[in-house]
Amino acid sequence: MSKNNDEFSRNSRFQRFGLVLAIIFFLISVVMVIRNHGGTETIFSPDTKVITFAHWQLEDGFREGFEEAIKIYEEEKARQGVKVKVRQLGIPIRGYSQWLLTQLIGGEPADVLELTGSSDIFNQYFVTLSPYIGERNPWNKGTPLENYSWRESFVDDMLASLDPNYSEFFSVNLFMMTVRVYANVDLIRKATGSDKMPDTVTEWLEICRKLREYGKATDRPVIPIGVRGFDKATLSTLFYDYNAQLNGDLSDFISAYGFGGVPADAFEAINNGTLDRERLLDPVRLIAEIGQYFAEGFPSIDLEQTKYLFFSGNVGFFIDGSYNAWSMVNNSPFEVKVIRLPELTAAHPLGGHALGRVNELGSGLGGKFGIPKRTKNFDLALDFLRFITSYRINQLTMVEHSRWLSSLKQVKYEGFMKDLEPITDTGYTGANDPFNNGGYSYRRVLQLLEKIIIEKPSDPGQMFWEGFLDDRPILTSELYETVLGIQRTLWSMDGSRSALSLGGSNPSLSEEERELFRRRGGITQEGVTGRYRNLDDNIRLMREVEKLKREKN
Amino acid sequence: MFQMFRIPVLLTFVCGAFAAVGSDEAVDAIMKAYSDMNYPQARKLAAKLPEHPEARLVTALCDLYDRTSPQIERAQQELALLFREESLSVRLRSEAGLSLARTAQLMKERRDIYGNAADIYDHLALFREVEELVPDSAMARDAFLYRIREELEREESRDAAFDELERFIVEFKGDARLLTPLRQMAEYEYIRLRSDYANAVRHLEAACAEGFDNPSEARSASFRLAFLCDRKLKDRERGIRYYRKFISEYPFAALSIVAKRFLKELGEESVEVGDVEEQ
Amino acid sequence: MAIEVSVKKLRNYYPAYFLIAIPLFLVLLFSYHPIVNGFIHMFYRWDGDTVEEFIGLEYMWRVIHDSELLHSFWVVTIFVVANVVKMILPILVAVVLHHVINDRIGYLYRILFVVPMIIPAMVGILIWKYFYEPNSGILNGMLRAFGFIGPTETVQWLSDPALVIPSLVFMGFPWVGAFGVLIYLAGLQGISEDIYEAAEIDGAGALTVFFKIELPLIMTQVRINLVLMIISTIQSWENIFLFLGADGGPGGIAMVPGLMIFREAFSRGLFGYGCAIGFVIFVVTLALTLINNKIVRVNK
Repeated sequence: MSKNNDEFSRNSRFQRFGLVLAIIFFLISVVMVIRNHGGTETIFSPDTKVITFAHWQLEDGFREGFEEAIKIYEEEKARQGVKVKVRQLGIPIRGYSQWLLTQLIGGEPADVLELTGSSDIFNQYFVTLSPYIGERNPWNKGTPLENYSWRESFVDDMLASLDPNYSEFFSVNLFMMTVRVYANVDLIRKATGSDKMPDTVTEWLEICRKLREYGKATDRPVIPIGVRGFDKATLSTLFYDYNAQLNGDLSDFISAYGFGGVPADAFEAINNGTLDRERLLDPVRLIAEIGQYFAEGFPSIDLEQTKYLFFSGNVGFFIDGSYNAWSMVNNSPFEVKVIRLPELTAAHPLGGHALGRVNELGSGLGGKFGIPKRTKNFDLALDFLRFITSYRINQLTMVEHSRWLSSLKQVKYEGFMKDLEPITDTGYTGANDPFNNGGYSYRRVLQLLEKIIIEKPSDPGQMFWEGFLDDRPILTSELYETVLGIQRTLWSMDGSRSALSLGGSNPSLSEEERELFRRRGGITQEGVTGRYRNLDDNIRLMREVEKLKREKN
Repeated sequence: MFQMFRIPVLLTFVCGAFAAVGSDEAVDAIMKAYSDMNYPQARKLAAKLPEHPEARLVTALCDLYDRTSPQIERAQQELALLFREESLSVRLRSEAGLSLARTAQLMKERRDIYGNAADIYDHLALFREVEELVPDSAMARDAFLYRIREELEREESRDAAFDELERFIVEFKGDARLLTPLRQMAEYEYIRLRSDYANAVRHLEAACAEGFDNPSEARSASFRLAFLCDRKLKDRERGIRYYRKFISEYPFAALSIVAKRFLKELGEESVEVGDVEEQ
Repeated sequence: MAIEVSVKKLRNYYPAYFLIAIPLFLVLLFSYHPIVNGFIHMFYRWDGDTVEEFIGLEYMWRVIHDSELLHSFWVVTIFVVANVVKMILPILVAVVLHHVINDRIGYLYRILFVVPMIIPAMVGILIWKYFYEPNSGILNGMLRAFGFIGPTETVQWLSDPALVIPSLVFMGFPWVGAFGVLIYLAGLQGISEDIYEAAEIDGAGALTVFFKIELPLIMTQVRINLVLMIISTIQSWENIFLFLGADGGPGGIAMVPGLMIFREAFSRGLFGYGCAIGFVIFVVTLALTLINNKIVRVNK
C-alpha cells in the first residue's frame, strides 16, 4: 500500500511538473505572438495599425536595411499623426511560393508582398497599380526624383513590371542586378606574375590556361572558372551574353515587324537561306571553349559549393550576379576584383563580327513587390510601397545595407559599387536567342551545352545543332501548350474588357473614375494585337523548326 | 374613403421608393463586384435579384469568364436571350452580344475542347449587329477588331477586309483614341499579309499621334515608328526625326542607346539627354 | 485496463462508430480524395489551377510511348535490386546484436544505432552530396591521399554518366539503417530460448541456426520491409532531386518516375500528365506487391 502511495505521489508530482512546463511554454508563446504582432502598443492602443511586409530575401543586409527603413517610416507617420507598426516577415525561398499562395487563398495576406508565380495569380490576387503609377511619389519630395511620376522614377520606366499577359502593373521592382566576374587577384598574380585583369576573351582564356598550368605545377586543385553548374545559371548567362555580343545586330534586320525579332524569324531566315546557321552556332563554340576551364564535375556543383571553393582560394574567376558582390569581396581572405564579363574581339577566331559588350541599361530588374487585393490597410500599404521605392529609402535599403543596385534613376554609386553599375557605353542591347523558348526545352538546350563541354566534340556547333533537332518534339509540344495558353489568355482578356466596359459605363461614377476605367480598358485592348502576334509567332516557330535540316545549307 | 387608404398608399409609395433606391444600390454593388472581376461576390449579389436585367447579365458573364466554375453553354444561351430582348438598354444588349460573339469565335478555334458547341452562333453576324447597335463606341470598335482579324485571315475575304478596315477608321465618329487598337491591328496585318510598310507606318503614325493608354506600348510604338521609317521605308528624314523624338522622350530607355547608334549610322548626332518631361 | 466486450455488444455501441468516423473521414479527405482526384485528372490537360480541359486518353497514349519514362523505370529497377541486396546487412547486424551476451553492452549498441535517426534524411543527403563533391569532397580527398588519383585530378561522381547511378547506389554506405535493424531485432527477440537450446543439443552450428531457425522466423519482418522498400524506392525522388536537380543528372541518366512527376507537374505545368505517370506508378507498385506476397512466403 505504501509502495502504491509512493508511486502515486511520484506520478502526480510528475504530472504537476508537466503542467507547469506547459504553462511556461504557453506564456512564452503568448509573448512571442505579441511581439510578432507589433508589440504591446498594438494591443493596448487600438488605433495603431499594423501592416506586414513579407519577402524571401534573407541575404545579409536586406532585412537590417528594412528594419532601419521601417523605423524611419513609423517615426515619419507618427509625425503625421498616424500610428503604424510595420512587421517584416522573411520567408525562406524554398517554401515562399507555397506560403504566398496559402496566404492569398486564405484571405489574410501580408499587406506588401514579394511576388512570385504566374500572371494569373497576380491578376487574381493583386491590386493593379496602373491608377497610381502616373502620380508623383510624395516620398521623393526634396530629391532629384521629385518631379518624376512614380513610374518614371524607375530606371526602366517600370517596363520590367508590366505583366505581358494582362498588360497591367501588379508590382514595382526594388533592385537591379548586373552580371560580373569576381577575380581572385592573389591567385592570378601567382599564376601569371601580373595583376592585370582580362578585358577580352582572348586575354581571359590565356589567364585561365596559365592558372591551369600553375595548378598542375604546384599540385594544387586550381579551378580557372568557377560556375553555378547545378542550376545552370552561369551557362545561361554566358550563352545569353556571348550570343548578344555575336548576334546582337540580328535585331536590326531579322524581323519584318520592327527591331528585335523572335526565334521564328531566325529559323525562317535559315530555312530560306538568308541567314547562315553557323552564326547562331558560334556562341556554342565559344562557350565550349570557355567551358574547358570550368571546374571538373561542374554540372553537380551548386552556388554554395562554388563560393566555398572560391573562398578557399582555388578558383580564379567566378561569374555571378551583382547581388553576391559584397559577400564575395568582403568574405574572401584575399584580394578580389570585380570585372566585367570579357569582351569578344577580333583577336579571337570567332570574334570577326563581334559587336562589343551588351548594353545593360534598363535590364536586370528584380524584387517585385505588390499589394494583395485582400489587404485590410490598402492606403497604408500603398504608402509604404511608395516609401520603400523612394529615392532616399531605396538607397538606404538596397545600396547602403544590401550593397545592391537600386531600381531608381539618378542614383550615384561609389566605391566598389561603381564596378557593378550597368554598362551603358555600348550600342547593342541583348539579342533574341532563337534556342531559348523558355520552359523545359531551354533547360534541354543548357544540358546539351553541358554535354558538349564535357565530351569535347570536334565540332561543338554541329553536335549542338543535332541535339537541338533531336529535341524538336519536346519544343513542339511546349509551343503547342503555349499556343493554347495564349488562346486562353485571349478569353481572359475579353473577360477584363467586359468587366472594365461595364464598370466604366456605370452612371454613378465620377468623370475621373470613368476615365480610369476607359484607360484600363484601353490598355487591355491595346494588348490584343500583341497576343495575336504571339500566337502567330509561335505557330510560325513550330512550322519553321520542323523544316530545319541537319546538314548545312 | 380616400382617407382610409391614404396611409397604406403613402406607405406603398415610400416602400417602393426605398425598394427602388435599395435596388439601385444592389445593382451598383453587383456591377462593382463584376468590374473588380470578383466573380464569386458578383454571383452572390446577382443571385439576390435574379430577374433584374443587370443581375442576369452579370450572372451570365460570370458563368462565361470565371474559370473556377465555368458554365459556358448556359451563359451563352442567356446572353443570346439578353441580346435579343429589345426592352433592355442598348448598353446591356451590346455587352451581351459582344461577349457571346467573342467567346463563340474563340470556341471555334478550340474544337478539340468545345466540339461544335459554338456553331449555333454566327459570331460574325453577331459582331456586325453589335457594330450597328452601338456605332462609334468602344464596343463597336471591339466587335470590329475581333471580326476583321478573322476576315483578314481568310484569303478570299482579305482584300475586302482591308478596304473595310480603312473605311471603318475613316468613318468612325467616336473618340479618336478608341481607334488605337485598330491601328495597331492594321499596322501588324499590313506587314504580315502584304509587306505593305507604307500603310503600316501611316497607321502607326496616327496611333502615336492619337496616343496609347499603355505607356509601354507608347514607347515601343515610338521606337518602331522611327525604325520602320528608317529601315523599311528608307525615309531618312522621318527616321531621324522620330529617333530624336524617341531619345528626348525616353532618354533612359535601353532602346535610346540603339536609337543613338542608328542616328550615328545615318550620319547624325543624337540629342542631348535631358530630363523626362512631366506628364 | 482492457475489458472484454462481445462482438454483438460492440456492434451496437454507437459511440465507437462516432470515434471511428472522424479518423475515417480524415483519411478519406486527405488520403483517398487526392488519389481519386489524381485518377480523374489524368484525363485532363490540367495546370493545377483553373485550366481543366478533357483530353481523354491522350496522356495515357503519351505515357506508353514515353521513352524517358521507360528509362526511369529501368533506373528504379536497378535501385530496387540494389536495395534488396542492401537489406542483407541490417539482418546480419541484428543477428549479431541479438547474440551479444552482455545486456548493457547490447543496450548501448542499440542506442548507438538509434541516435543517428534524429538526423533528418535531408541533412544526410546533403552530407553525401558534399562527400561526392569533385573538387573538395571527402571521397576524392581520400582517393588523393591514398594516391589513387593525382593531386589535381577529380573523379566526377555526379557528373560522369557512367558513375552517377553507382554513386547513388553507394549512398548510405554501410547501409545499416536503425529502422531495419530494430525491426529484425524485435523479431529475433521473439524467438523462444527453447528453440536455441534444442538446436544446440542437436549440434547445429551458427550458420545452420541462422539459416534454419532465425531467418525463417523473421521472414514476416523481412517481407514487410521488402514491400515497404519496393514501394518507397519506386516512389522516392527527393535524393535524386537534391543530388542532381530536376533533370535527373547528365542527360537525365538518373531520372526516376517520381522525379518525372515533379518535373512534369511543377516545372512544365502539366499536372494532368503527372497524374498519368502517377497512375502508372500505382499499377506497377501494386503488381510488385502482389508478386512479392506470392513469392516471399512466411513459413514458420
